Amino acid sequence: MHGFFGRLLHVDLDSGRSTHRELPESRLRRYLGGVGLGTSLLYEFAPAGVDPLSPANPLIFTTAPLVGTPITTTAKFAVVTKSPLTGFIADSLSSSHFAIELKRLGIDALVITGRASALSYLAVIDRRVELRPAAHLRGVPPGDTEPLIRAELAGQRAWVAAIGEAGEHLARFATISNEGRQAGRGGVGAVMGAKRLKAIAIAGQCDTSVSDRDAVARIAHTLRQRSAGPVTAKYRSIGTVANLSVFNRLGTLPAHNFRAATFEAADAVSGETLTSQRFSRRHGCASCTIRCERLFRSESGSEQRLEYETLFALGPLCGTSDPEYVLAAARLCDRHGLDAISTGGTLAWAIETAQKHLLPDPIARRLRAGERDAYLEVIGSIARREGVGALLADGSRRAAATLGQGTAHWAMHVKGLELPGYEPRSLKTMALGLAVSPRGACHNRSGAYEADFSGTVDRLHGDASRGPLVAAAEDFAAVLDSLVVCKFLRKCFSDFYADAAEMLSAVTGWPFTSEELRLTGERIHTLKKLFNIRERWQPDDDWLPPRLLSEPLSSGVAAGTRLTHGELREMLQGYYRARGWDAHGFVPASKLALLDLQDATAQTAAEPAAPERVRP
Amino acid sequence: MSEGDLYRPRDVGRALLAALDAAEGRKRQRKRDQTPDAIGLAVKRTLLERLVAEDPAPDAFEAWLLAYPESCAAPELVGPARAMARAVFDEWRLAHSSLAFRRWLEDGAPSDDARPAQDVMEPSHVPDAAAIVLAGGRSSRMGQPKALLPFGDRPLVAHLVRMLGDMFREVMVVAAPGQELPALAATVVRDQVEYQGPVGGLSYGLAASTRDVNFVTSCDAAFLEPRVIRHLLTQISHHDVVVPVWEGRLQPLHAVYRRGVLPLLQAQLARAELRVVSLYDNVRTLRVDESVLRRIDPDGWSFFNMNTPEEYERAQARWRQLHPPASTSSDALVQCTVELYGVAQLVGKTSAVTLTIAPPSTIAHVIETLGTMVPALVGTVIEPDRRGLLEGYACNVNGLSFVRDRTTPVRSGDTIIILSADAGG
Repeated sequence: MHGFFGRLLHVDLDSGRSTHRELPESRLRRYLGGVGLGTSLLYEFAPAGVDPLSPANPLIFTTAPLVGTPITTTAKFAVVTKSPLTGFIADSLSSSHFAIELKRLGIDALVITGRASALSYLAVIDRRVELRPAAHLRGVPPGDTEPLIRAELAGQRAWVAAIGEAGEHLARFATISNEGRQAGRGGVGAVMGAKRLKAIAIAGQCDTSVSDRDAVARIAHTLRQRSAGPVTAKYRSIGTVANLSVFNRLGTLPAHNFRAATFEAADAVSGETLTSQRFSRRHGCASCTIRCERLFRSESGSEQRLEYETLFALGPLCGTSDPEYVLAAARLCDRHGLDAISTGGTLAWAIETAQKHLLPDPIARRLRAGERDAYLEVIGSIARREGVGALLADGSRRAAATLGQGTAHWAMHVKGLELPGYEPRSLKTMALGLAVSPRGACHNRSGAYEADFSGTVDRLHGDASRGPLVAAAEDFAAVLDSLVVCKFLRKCFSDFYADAAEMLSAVTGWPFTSEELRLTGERIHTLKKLFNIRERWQPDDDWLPPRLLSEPLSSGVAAGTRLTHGELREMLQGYYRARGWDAHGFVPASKLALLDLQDATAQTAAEPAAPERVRP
Repeated sequence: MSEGDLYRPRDVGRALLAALDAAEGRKRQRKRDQTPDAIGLAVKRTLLERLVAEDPAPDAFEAWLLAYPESCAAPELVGPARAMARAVFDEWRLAHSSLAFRRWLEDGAPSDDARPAQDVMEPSHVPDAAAIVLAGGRSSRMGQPKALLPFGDRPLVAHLVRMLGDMFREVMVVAAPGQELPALAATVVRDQVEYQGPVGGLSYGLAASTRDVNFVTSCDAAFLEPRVIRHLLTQISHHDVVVPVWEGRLQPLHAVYRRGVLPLLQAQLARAELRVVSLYDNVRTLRVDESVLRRIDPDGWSFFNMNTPEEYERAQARWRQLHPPASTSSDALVQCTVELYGVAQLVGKTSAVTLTIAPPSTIAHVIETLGTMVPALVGTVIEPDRRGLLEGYACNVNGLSFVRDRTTPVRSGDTIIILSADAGG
């Protein structure tokens, strides 16, 4: 088998056993790797209705067919589980050396179930699986955990993914961190923390074999060259922080907890200002020629990675324009292992709640006064579940439900996942994309904003025609996330599905076609939806927060623009029609047959091989 | 004039003086009273000569012009000098904002007035020549006569004749016997035998021509580029045929032929050899390489022709881009602001630029002018030929509408936003 290894490693922390199991070709072809394979395995391994923080919820790491090849931006892995924040699927991607090393283990997926008896870390060195004590790592930031574990595994060139304090304390938007990057959204770190797993250290020796080495080399060369062209110039020269000033100008920058679509002090924290005043160096993932990461210097001289979502969420969304504070808050999120978007979203909710004198905590007065130190304290308290942090660590939806008193009106989430930095009222296609995304308010699983920024639609007016656009964008993202290829490479393809089919065929030796891949994208996306339906998804879950549907935009070029219930409903109907789902958003049996998903619920891996004992 | 020098007021002044010289040479032939013209030209000449002599810096130029009228010796000339200073300042600004005006200056401010009567084309060594338009084809795949396909307010052939009439003293249209044609300012030559292909049309055209050198084209060449034609004509001196090669193919219906090849063509007709290219091995033929042509016409629109309704549609779209409907205030200059974000701002080292553009004021014109004003953007954000933005960049008007159609009109007060097309993050 080329591109894949055709097996997964299942580690059950309850029994202490590890098992290698076959993954048949038919399953790999149908779901590829990354998010697709992860979704398929989640459907199989997660018992229906499982409590996300219970031992039975599987934590699934998947690699992908392109990982380990010379094709640029493919060093990525997915983490898939049932989200403790949303109760639906969580599929997060992270990247760099850990992804390559996961593949070098000679597996396509690592499935972890159960719960360790004490805080531990999992070491998988080639085929040796070991659970080692991690009490001494309790409270240690992920970035510091990595070298400590490496030192303990002396002689092994191990790569490490770890959780911070937030994961240990089951903050529902905790991340899993590796090499400074985060599998960020949906609380995968909390699931890992619930398993009392501080880290996973891996080292393997298996190389990825490809079917047609010359063709792969040619494709890699072409994409490498395109990745140095104008379509990625933004990422290479300024990074995603470039979005902030543009979004502000276009009236699509959420500020003050979505009470405004522009930020009065945007210049102070714009990408252009940060670049000219605080740029420190550029960095990139392993195997990437774009290298979008930007590190900025704080006044103390320390460096901090910053990208648009972090900048927006910790800055304008919370009404703050002090770059020094934003860098400090971002550093805190990284050190604690917190998703910066959900942290910013939940903090913004807390600030507004405090401003309305509804937050029953001594810190409310300082939040009301806009004290930056108080904001930083709140972030720390979330990670440790202390004080007001115990409330906020569950995310804005649960916090608002606990507090009541109408605070849900300004809890800005979809399905419990806090909104990213795209104002839905002035980006109507994006509004639909956010509402229907299986993992909650997510900008990465559809990228529906592309249509709004394309000039082909009226971004201030939504109608049923947006449905097919969002569906197509979701399927496209599903394939990208399952190959896996970084989204920042997406415009380097001349015909994505044809190019992807060519890549996959060259790597695997299986003759993929573009039509097959289109169907694969739809199949993967539909399976996410089927998982959610199984976990009690209801039509009301595909909806937006009340603020967005009741308050017009108060500022910017689109001031006065509204998103009405009727408008959203019409877009939803257009979307369900485009998907071939029923009018309520449920998937009919005929669709399952078309996508070859009838036996999705019955899908199992091949019979287990003889179990291996996890070494204590 | 180099790109850097263009911004020096002195150089613009020199070019304007050259234009003035040409205009004065021509005005003697006019019959009306030219005294007011003469006074105005004298005032302008004095100003420009002083400008060239004193060479003010670009950023001090406006102040220099403001002070200039007061330095005039004759008090009665202060008023005219002030008006002329304003006019010269406008021309200087136009040189920055209008690529067409700038090209005119770069070409040495050429004027019809400046050309000797016999030398229709420039540069001066271009031979006296005629233009021949072949219009007698069957148009079978198009389904209607190509010569009559409307472009804007008239058939394409009428546009072609008018355009070629600006370059050539003699223009001929070769048509099939009985073929319907609109009224044309050209000599219409009829095929003696219809539908003999281009060899037939070429033969009848050359036979009717009174010139040794003839530029030959077809009636469906919608986007002839005068500079390409001029270049081909300048290459004829030691050859019988000058034919371009575009995308690996000879372009016999966009080529220059000496009348002397006529007997060979007639012999071809006699033996039913209807391929023009068969001629080339028997005469002194210069094949002009594509790389040379691309420098003048990067996309090769000169060689575009239409055989199918789809190609006609494509041509129509481009025609509309190049010839947008005149606005109601077509004579007014439009002032707009261009805001640059992200890469554009970092590369251009500015966040906003104010442009004054002459009609047609479209997005295409704004981008072209922006490239002139902020040269660092050309090749990084703007296409090298300044016709549009590079892939990866997008354009928005007033923060609301994302614009894909480059013919979108721009109005005074508009803000054009140049940003990355990729909003991912």
